[in-house]
Amino acid sequence: MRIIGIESSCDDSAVAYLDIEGDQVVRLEHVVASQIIHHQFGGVVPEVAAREHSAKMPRLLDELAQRVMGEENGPRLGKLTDLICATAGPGLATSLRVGLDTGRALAAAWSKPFYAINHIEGHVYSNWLPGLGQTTKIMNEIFPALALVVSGGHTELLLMRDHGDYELLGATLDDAAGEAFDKTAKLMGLGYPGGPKISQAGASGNSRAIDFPRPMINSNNHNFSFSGLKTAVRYFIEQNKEQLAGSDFTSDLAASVEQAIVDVLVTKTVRVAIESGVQTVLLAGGVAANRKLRESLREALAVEAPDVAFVEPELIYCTDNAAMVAMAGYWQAQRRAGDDWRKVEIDPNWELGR
Amino acid sequence: MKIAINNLDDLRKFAVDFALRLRGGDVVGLIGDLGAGKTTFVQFLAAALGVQEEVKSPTFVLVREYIATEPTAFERNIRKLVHADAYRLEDEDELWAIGFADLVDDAETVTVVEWADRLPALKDRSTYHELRFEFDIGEKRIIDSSER
Ligand SMILES: Nc1ncnc2c1ncn2[C@@H]1O[C@H](COP(=O)(O)OP(=O)(O)OP(=O)(O)O)[C@@H](O)[C@H]1O
Ligand SMILES: [Mg+2]
Repeated sequence: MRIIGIESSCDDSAVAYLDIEGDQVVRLEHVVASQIIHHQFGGVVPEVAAREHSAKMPRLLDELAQRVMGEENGPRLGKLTDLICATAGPGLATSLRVGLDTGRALAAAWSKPFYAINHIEGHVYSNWLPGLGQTTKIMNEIFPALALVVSGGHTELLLMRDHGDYELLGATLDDAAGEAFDKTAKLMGLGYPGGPKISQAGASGNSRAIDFPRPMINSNNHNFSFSGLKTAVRYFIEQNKEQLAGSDFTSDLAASVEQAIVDVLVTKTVRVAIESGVQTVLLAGGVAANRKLRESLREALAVEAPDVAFVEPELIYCTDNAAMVAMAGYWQAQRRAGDDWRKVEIDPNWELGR
Repeated sequence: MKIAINNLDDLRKFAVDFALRLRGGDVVGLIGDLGAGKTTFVQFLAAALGVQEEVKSPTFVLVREYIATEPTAFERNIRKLVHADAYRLEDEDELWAIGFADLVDDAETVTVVEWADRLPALKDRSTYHELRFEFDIGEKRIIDSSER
């Protein structure tokens, strides 16, 4: 089955071509046009305008055709394709519309089935994407599974009973985990993007040097809150200004902030995994690229829930991309007919599993 | 006018009181540094307008829309709350380019914008109101509210 995936829910425009035969991924090509990141405000993504997505989308499809067939031949790509999927939400309305409309226009023109995909479901399915040079990632008998989706805009814990069967167990009440990285990095003067900058700065630091609050770590619900970390870091910096010049101090500070964020994510995920009796924990989203998070979650599960398998996505598929959208579409096509391209609409607030 | 906010409860009371004075079409700019309490204020404001959903930080997605369900808000022509955040914007045209004006211009919408200092064109609107959040010690904040 040959699938075209399209994604434009926020900053990045992306397209992908995925060919699955049997259980094997026999072909996977993906192209992402990331918005240029400026550093001026420490975390600013310019040109989020939908017109950027619209300007890029045809070129991306041309590039995709070139990669798949060696020529920029749209009609031939159309003949090759069995179905088309595009992200319909959640995200920014005007951005979403570009990807969804491109997808359904192609579906109409080429007369192919069309699937509207939830962006978060896409992230979950990044776990099914094999690494470069591989054809498969064995993902049988993994249900029920618990997915932790962590990115700049999302922090969600989803119980996945089967393909397409989700229950939202918890989410952030304020800032997303990736946002907490970006904003505390800004406060520490470390620049953008916050996650990698903090990991880098904290690599040689003592992560237990400063005991930042771990909000809601012991609460009875499965929600998260990261906004308080900003104020905690701000006050700490104010009270220790003179020391900030020292690089050891900064690396202890960065390592401690990273540890606080990771501790909350890991503790709650492991607790929910045990409580809900899942077989597998899946990690997904841009923050899934964080090494400390991957390692801590793996280790904590190994100790506290040794029967639970841990699956993490390939690094290249953690951030927004269209390959994950195509993979989510593949699994949807296994169990339902497509959406009517005449009727399908964007859903900026689409919450998976609620 | 400067208002002393000693804790979250003070902030909630201030937001509830503020919500009562809003009308459809109003635009509120929130200015203040990271962690000053802009989003927290909007959470209280939204609850006072009868928004049922949880209000989260809009930094990443830039704009979120909510339905107001409070009958006393209907009397003041408020049906919708738009929560925007200019933190990630470098050029203010970006928000206008995605059709932000259509949202703000709606007569039944109250628009609240975090980091409004990055969207100076808002100030030209006759319905614009500004709240500046300043840090005091600990939980304390000072809100500087423009006259209306
Ligand atoms: N009196 C207070 N007023 C506001 N916030 C308070 C107060 N006391 C404590 N806080 C805490 O400070 C934090 C404020 O974070 P919040 O995300 O609301 O700030 P913000 O101004 O929206 O920041 P950003 O610039 O990142 O958008 C919250 O965790 C809140 O609970
Ligand atoms: Mg905020």
